[in-house]
Amino acid sequence: MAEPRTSIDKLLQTAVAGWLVPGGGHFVAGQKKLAWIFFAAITFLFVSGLVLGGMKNLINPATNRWLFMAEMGIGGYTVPLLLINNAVGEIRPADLARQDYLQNVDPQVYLKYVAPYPAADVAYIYLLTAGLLNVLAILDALTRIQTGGLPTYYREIARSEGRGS
Amino acid sequence: MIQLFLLADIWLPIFHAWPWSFSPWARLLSFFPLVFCIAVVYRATRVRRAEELPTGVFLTFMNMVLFMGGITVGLYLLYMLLLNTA
Repeated sequence: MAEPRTSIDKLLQTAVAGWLVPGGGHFVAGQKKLAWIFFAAITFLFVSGLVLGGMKNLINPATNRWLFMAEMGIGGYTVPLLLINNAVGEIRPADLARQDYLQNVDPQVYLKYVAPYPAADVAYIYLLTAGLLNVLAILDALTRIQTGGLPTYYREIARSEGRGS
Repeated sequence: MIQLFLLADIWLPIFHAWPWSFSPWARLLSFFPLVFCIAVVYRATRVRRAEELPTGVFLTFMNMVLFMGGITVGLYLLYMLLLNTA
């Protein structure tokens, strides 16, 4: 029996909700417990990364565009933080990518905003992972809203359970 | 509004970088929350209901830790072997 098609509007709502807040897509899909689980896991990684590394250097497309692209997997966190980053603080984020600025900046000011190795390394990995995991969460939410709450590989899971029983 | 932003400049712990001292053990320990969160999200995309998560997360977490640990030890032994034979 053919599954009823989910409207494009509903799919867009799910995707946008998931992009704005981790777990938002699952909330729209009616999976509230899973929504909270995704929210807690992904937000923990994102916030931990920022606490370890500082926002100026990490939410910064000028210093690391690939990290920024991964962080855009959680647009609802990254975009406001990028705006705050550019609006306040003694350092402009774009300056951190300029060699002439880095050679002349006061180290006391610089170290207020940029974490040294190895904290910065750990922070990068946490933020990168959080952003990419949210992309996975959005895709899962889109699947669940189309299958009535079932996960992506629900046919394979059912088949393997049938073989096991 | 600008006062709120200035307050954020002083108070938000994510806005400033902190002089964390990361010992080698601290770096190793920071691996575990990362793997746990990856296990949680990965398993959550595979379960039909949230109640099925705990066992799956535990198994995935242990798999990842043990296998990555095994790969690390294996590469280290290979490295020591190459050092001693070179």
